[in-house]
Amino acid sequence: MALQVGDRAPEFTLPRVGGGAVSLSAYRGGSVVLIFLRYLG
Amino acid sequence: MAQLRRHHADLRAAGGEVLLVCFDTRERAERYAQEQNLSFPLLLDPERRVYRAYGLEQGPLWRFLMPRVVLGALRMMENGRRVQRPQEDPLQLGGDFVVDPAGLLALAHPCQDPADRPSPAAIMAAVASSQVTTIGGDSDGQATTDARLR
Repeated sequence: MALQVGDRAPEFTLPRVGGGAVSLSAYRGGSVVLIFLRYLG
Repeated sequence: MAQLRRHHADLRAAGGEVLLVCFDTRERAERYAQEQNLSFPLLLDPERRVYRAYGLEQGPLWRFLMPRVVLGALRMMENGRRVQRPQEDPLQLGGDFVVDPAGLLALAHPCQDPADRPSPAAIMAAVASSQVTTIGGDSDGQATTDARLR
């Protein structure tokens, strides 16, 4: 079942270029634009 | 991307962020971030666990041969840009999402084919409405958000 508007965004923690890791929940209280790339270019 | 860059400062000031996720190798991603002088965090998901969690699947091959996809690639080449080969899986599709301040999706756009992406205006409109909803949508909040969009 595809995600719909109003669904809870799946939480994640991923390594970040430049070091460290980023969790989605770290931005609770602010809006996040999440862009999944197909390729870099 | 250029339009998102313009709104990035406002988004950050409001406690938000633009997060880019890729499934390339760390080396390629580091090179890309440097070349593009990226101001957004670029996250690595080589196993594509988060891609799958957001329902981003591999598209069927025929979608990559559709005229608008091929034309888009030709236009990129015309503009002097290289069409890069996706690193490991040419069939993986991308997607764009807006998460509101409460952690709920305000926009969910899994791409149906490689040329299918929402406009930056649609993304920023979803950001603005998510903030207004959370703030309570009073007239001042609305005016601020409208100003931000311009």
